[in-house]
Amino acid sequence: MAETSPGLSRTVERDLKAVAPVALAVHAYAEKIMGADCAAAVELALVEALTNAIKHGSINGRETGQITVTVQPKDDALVIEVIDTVPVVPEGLLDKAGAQRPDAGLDDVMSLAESGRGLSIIVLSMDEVSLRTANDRYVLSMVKYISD
Amino acid sequence: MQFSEKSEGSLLLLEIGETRLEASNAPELRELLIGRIETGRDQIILDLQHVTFMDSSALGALIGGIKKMGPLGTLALAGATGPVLQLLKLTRMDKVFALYPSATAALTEMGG
Repeated sequence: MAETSPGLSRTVERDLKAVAPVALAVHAYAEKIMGADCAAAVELALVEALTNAIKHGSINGRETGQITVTVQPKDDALVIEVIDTVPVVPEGLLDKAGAQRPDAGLDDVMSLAESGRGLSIIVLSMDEVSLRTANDRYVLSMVKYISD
Repeated sequence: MQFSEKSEGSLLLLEIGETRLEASNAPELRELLIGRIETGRDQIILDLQHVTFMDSSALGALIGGIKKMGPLGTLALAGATGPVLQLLKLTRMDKVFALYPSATAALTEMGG
């Protein structure tokens, strides 16, 4: 029987400077399981999710409190969850992010948005993305399949 | 933000010394670019050879730079590799910025 790699869990202070150490730890963990390219995609999606959680956590008036990140292998995938006391991403925007065309508006540089790509990047980088509530916590779940 | 700069004729080469460009330092990156553009520099090469990670916040700073530059100037990216290049391709920003494999290649091409 194949041995299951133990998961990873980290808490993240609501400070943008706290994102990188967690992201690097998750990248290192993911790379052992799924290689460098997939680990890079996981790291990018996680950084975008944490940045969004920290920025919107402050906007909603919650400037204290930690965010939790868990990483767990499950079947042929890696499940990364970002758990917070406020919605990690607004659910309506998550649905829209999946439908956005990344090449929309490239002809006119002056009209390019300088922000708002984070959710699209999460959806494009991961194989499954969903939002749920559990025990008064909001959970952003991101799944990356382990390719052969 | 760690960086070095060098002028070659009308070209300004900004070599970024940070390994990560992300939300925590994106405002400094934006300030660096906008600041140089506001002094009249309109041919800028941003050397990303040391950068191993970039997120959408930093990308936003680059987009802010290219918008400030306007259509008569050039903000080129050099040395983007790995995850940095992947992000540019994922967001189709490889169609917006002039990309060069190295600062040397950019200087040669843009120097005419």
